[in-house]
Amino acid sequence: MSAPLVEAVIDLAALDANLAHLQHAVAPAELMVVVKADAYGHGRVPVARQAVTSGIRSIGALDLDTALELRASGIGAEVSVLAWLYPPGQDFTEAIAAGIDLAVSSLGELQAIEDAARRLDGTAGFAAPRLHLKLDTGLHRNGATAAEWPALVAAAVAAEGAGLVRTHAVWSHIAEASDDEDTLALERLLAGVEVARGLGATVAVRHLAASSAGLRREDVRLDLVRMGGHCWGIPSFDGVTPADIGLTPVMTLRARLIGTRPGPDGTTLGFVSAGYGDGVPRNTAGTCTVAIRGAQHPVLAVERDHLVIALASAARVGEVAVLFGTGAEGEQTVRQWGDLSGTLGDEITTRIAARVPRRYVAAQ
Amino acid sequence: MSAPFREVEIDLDALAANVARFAELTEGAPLFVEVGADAWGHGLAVVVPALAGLGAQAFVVARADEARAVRALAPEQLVVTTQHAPDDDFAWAGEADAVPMVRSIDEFRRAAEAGVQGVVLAEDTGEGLPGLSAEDLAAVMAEADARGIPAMLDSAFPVVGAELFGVSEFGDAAPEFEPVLRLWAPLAALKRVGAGEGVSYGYTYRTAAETTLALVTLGYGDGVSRVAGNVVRASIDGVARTIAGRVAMDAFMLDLGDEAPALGTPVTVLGDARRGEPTAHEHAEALGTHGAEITTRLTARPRRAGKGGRA
Repeated sequence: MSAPLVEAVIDLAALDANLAHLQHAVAPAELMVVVKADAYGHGRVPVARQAVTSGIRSIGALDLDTALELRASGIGAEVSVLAWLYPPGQDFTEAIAAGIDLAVSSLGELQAIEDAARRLDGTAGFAAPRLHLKLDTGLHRNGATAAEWPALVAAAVAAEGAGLVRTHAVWSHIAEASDDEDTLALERLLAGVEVARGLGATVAVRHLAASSAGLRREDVRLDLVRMGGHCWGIPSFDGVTPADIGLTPVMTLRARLIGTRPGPDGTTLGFVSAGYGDGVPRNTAGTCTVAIRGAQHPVLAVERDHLVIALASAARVGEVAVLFGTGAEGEQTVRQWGDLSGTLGDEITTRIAARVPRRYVAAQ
Repeated sequence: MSAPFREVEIDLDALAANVARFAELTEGAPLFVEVGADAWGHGLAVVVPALAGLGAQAFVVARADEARAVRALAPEQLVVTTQHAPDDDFAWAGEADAVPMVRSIDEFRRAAEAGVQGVVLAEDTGEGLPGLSAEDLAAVMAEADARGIPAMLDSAFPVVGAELFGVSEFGDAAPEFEPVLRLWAPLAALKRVGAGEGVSYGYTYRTAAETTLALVTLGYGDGVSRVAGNVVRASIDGVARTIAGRVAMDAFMLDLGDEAPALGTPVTVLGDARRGEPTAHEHAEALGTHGAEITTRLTARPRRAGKGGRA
C-alpha cells in the first residue's frame, strides 16, 4: 500500500496522554475539551469520542451545528456539551431536545431559548436547558456588560421559576493581554457570580480560563477550565516546547517527495506533495523546514499543490516528507511552524484543508 | 439551522460573466478549468455543476480524491489529475474515469498498465516539477500509439484557473474578471463601550472614544488570517472599516463609532470592490500574498451557497 500524497496523522494515544496530564494539572477543576473549528483541524467527532473515552465529561462545541453533530455521533447525556455562539434568529428547539448546555449573553438570546422551551414544555422527555450565563469581563465580544448583567440574571431566574430553563453556570472569556488584565477579569467574574447568587441564580460552575491561563494560574481555574490547543499538544504561551509542559503534539502532517531537479549553484530542489491548497501557509517559504529521513530541508516556495524545498542531503523520490509533528522524525513542531510564520500553531492546524485526509491512530 | 451563520456565497452570474469574458479573450477556446483545492476555495459542489452548465469540457484537479468528487458532479466532462504518488498503481483511475497527466516514462507505464482511457503528457519546461524530456516524450508518444492510448500534450491543453473565479496568483484579476465569492456573516452582537477599552485577545486595539463594537462570527477557523486584525477591512452596506483587534478563531470585531446597524446586517469580509466591499486581492496585498491563497485557504466551515445563475 502506497503512502498517501498528503495526510494528517492524528495520534489519539498522544491525545489521551495529553488529556490525562491536563486533567491532573487543573484538578480539582474540571477539564472541558473544546472541539470548535473541527477540533482545530483534528476532526471534531473522533477527538470528542476519544476525549469521552479518556474520561472527559465536558465538551465545548462553540455552535449548535457542532453540538448537535456530537450528540448525533453518540455522545450521550452523561457528557455535557456547551454551545455559546449563535447567529441572530437562532432557533433553539433542536438544541434543547438534544440536551445541549446553552450559553446566554443577552436578553434576546434568553428570549429565544425561552420561546423554544415553551414550545417543548409538556412534550415527552422535555428537560429545561441548563444555562451558562456569560459576563463580559473585558474582551468585549459577547457576554453581558456589568450594566446589563443584573437584568439578564433576573430574567433567567424568572424563566427558571416558570420551569423553562435551569440556571447552572457563570462564565467569561479572558483576554490574555497581561496578568493584571486577567486578574481584573477574574475579579469582575467573581463579582458577577455574587450578583447572580444574590438574585437567586444557581451558580454550580464558574469558568473563565482557557489553555494558557488555565495551565499557568491556579487562581483563574475556578471550577472548570476550557482547553483546545493544549489538548492537541500546542503550547499556547511563549518560550516552551510541548515536552516542557508535559504535552505531545497530536497532529503530524506528512507528504511525499514527488520529484527533484538541479537548482542553482549545485543545489538540488525537491518537490513535496502539499501546498497552500492543503492549508500550508505561503509564508512558511523562507521560514520553515520539512524533514526527510531525519534531516530538515528549508521550504523555498509554496505552490497550490506542492512545496519546493532545498534538498540538504540525498533523498529518493517517493520518500515521506514530514512537514510538522512531534519532532520524533527530526521535523519541526506545529508550534515552531506557527512562531516562524508569524502566527499560532492553532491557526496552522485549524486551516489544514478538508482535502487532506485525516488518519487516526488509535489509543491502546 | 434556519439562520445562516457564516457563508461563502458564490455568485453564479459573475461566474457566467467570467466564462463569457474568457471566451471573448481566447476567441472561443474550449473551456478547460482547473478546479483543484475545492475550486480555489469556492466549493466544488456549487462550482462544478455551474461550470458544466456553462459549457466546460474538462476539469483539472491535483489528486485522485478530487477526481472522484468532480466525477460525481460532472458525469460527462473530461477529468484530468496532475499529481500522483511515485508508486501509484492508478487502480482508482477507471472508477473515477479520469485521465492522468504523466511526467515520466515510468508514470506513463503504470497508468497504461491500469488501462486508463487516455493520458496528458507533461513536457519538461526547465523549471518547476520535472516533466518529460523531448526524448522521453517521443518514446512515450510512440508507446501510447502502439498501446492505443490517446495521448495529448499539456501545451495543447490550455487550462484556465483561479482567474475564472476572479482571483489570481499574479496580481489583481479585476477588472478583467469579477470576484465570484463573497465571504460574509450576519452581525451577531453590538456593544456600547467607553474610551480606552481593549478589544479582542491581547488588546491590540483600544477604543479612542465612546463607541459601538460589533461582533462578527468569522475568524481564522473560517480562513480569515489571524494577523489580518488591524490590517484588513470588512464592510457593512458598502462602507469598509479596518478590523479592530486580533482576529480570533471564531470572531472578529469592528469599531462602528456611532453607527448602529441592526443585528443580522450582513458584514462582508471578501467581496467585490464595485459594491464597496474589500476584495481578496486587497486582503492579499495587506498580508503579503496573492488573492488565490486568500480564497483557497478558506476552510470548509463557512457553508458554500450558490446565488443567481440559471434556475
